[in-house]
Amino acid sequence: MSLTSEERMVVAAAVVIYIVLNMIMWTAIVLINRKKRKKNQIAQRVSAELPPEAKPGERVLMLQPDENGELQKAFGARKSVPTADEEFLQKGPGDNFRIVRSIIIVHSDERIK
Amino acid sequence: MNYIVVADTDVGISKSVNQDSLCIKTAETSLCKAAMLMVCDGMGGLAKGEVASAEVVRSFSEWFDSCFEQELTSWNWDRIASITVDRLKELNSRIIAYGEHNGIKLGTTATGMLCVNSQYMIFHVGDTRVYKISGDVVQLTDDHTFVNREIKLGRMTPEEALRDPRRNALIQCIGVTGDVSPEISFGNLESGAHYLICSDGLRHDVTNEEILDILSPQQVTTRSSIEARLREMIELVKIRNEKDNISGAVLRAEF
Repeated sequence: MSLTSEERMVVAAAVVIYIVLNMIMWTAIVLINRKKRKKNQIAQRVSAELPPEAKPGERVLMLQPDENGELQKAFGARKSVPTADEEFLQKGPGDNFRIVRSIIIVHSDERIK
Repeated sequence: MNYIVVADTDVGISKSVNQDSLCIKTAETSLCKAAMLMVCDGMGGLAKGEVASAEVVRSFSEWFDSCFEQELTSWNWDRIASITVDRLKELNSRIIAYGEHNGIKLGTTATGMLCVNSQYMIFHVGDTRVYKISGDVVQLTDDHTFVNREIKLGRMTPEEALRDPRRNALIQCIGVTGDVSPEISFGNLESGAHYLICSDGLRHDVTNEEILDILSPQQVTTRSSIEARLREMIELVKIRNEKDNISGAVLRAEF
């Protein structure tokens, strides 16, 4: 049996709608799974890495060897090093250097050699 | 150009030993002025934090006294940054070796500002902070915590960090692990502003609004008044039951 042109249009529209709905559904599934995976990774790090006696948000030490150089990447990059200011460069540092004020407050006489 | 520098510290209401160490210095020649401030917070959970923090402060004090004049003759911020990083890494190794030799673990944060005329460099390891106080209070250093590292590496958002239980977990200090990456930053001093370096004991129980109110650069302009206000802030956090050692150093530049 052959379809009329109107029936063919309806079928075509239904197919398009079906494809679009499928695309939306699969995209949503992928995004939800990705979010779940990330949450699980974070949750695993939580249970694995905080010292067991630490309360959440408490200042604790979590000092571990930095095997991947992540400390350097996160904190060690040196940004925007300035040149000395122009007047200083032109006139130089001057003379008669003297320390005007010097206060050191420590609570141990022990030195580390 | 004029620098005013003050420092104050308190053992606090609970501890028997003050493990914080501080240093403030100013120097001048016929043509320039310089200043250095440092606050080091010895790690309370480890042994002999006061020995570690004192060693770091003394090391930089000795460098300023003996080498700074020579450095001024060919001043180069990149070189100064390298010298500073090298010194912090050398101290890190030395303190680790001392700890291994004595069967203990000791460590300290290390945060300082070095100023020449209107320029400054901040060097920083840990969670001691530098604030700039002018019309508002701006934190100039990052806390070296787990979540800040994750944010900088793009593995966590600031919103996630606020909820993360490791948000105050410190991941680097001087003297404990072989890997330390000091943070170096530069800037220009604002005339009339205050720069506060403080250990975490001073900032836990005060808001930024209170810091601005107590150390207002418009109202607090002399050395004696800055000293008095810094002491006032220390006494305030003691009343609020702060249990840690409490330390702060303030620089005011006028030009």
